[in-house]
Amino acid sequence: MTGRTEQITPGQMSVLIIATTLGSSIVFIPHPLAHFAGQYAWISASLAAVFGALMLAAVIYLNRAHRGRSILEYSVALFGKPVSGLMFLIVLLMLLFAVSAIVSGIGDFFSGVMMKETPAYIFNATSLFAAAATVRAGIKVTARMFVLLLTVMVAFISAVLVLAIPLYHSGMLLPIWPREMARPVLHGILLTAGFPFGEIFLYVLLIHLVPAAPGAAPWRAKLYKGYALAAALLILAVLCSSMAFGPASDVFIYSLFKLASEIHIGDMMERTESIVGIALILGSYMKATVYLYMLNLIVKGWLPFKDERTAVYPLALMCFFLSLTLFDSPADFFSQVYVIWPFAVLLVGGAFLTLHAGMTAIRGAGKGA
Amino acid sequence: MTVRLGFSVVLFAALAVAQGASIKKMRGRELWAFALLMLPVLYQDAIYVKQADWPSLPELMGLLLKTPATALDRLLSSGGHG
Repeated sequence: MTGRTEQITPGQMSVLIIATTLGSSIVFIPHPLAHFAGQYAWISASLAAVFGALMLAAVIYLNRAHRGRSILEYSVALFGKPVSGLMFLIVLLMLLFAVSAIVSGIGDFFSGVMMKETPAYIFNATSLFAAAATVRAGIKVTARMFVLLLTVMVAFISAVLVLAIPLYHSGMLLPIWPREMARPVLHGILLTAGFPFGEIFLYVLLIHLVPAAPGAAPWRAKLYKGYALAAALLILAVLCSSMAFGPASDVFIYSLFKLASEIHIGDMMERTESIVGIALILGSYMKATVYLYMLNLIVKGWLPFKDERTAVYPLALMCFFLSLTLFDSPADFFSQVYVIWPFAVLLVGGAFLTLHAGMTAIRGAGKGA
Repeated sequence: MTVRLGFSVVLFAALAVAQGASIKKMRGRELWAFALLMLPVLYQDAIYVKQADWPSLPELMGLLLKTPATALDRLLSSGGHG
């Protein structure tokens, strides 16, 4: 992070989008989605992905209308400082929650599945330190590094999904005792439209980092392609989980991890679940890093720090303490992350983008600071 | 509590080491801004160390959204699936 505004390429922005959309969700989402939507999980995820694409379209519209300005600048011009400040305060709180929940997820996974004797705060602290150090290195370095990490993550998950092909039974996608389809599907849409697809609205904070250039249409297409790839992989993971476990995917908290543990190819390919563990950690770390960067972006827009990196460690420290205190129990985590958070994303994210896009349309494009 | 307090001290010491030099250079508004930023951090630390049941900032927002989110969840949960 340097004194001048950093810029990244459209390809790097796509990498960030894929990293945050897949991030922790590819391992976490199949379980609550199966819980809510049963065998219709993949239908819910597919429909929710369309909603996320609409959110991305709104983000891109705002970026185009304000000619690549930062939303922190044009929001004040559109709404005035008090209203704009209130809106960003809500987004700030959401990001604080999100980073804390992601890091808490890493800690719970490690201390619950892999290293049961080690307390979760060790993992939370390590993950947040890694994320904070990455944020301090700057978004350009982050995006470049994530190209490699994302490749590793996608390769590992794809390998597990392919190796588990003998376990899939397409009949598992059919409901055992069908009673009603609409409400489970809607429930699944509510979950996945908020987490992870709706979270794409947060990119309104970052999109100005891609410089506006003549003939800008193709770079915006890259963002859609990145998002589509992430959505397709997530839907595939949900589909594979349903085909392998059927109604039981509701039981396994980390169903992709369980799927990997079921892979036995002769005597040479066993215990592949550890690579899903690596994928989860990489994904969660990348997502926490990007969201921490967004948090810092808002704070440095408000507070008069000469060094843009000043707030990173204090914010990381706050997220660390939050990650250890926000969730009283696994049931509380489930309620906050899979019930309240998706609703908050839909409500706040939807209102945030709608208000900005609506006001931009009314007051005219290009109205900014 | 001793372990949590000890771990907090280690973390704040690490923060002081990492940013001590830049904090020393801060003057006036910048220093006040940093102090303002540290206030919620210290508040969250107090919750962690004391394991107090005080509300955190994101939880306040969650409280506002909990009722409608849970009501919607209940409404949709009552639909059966195979």
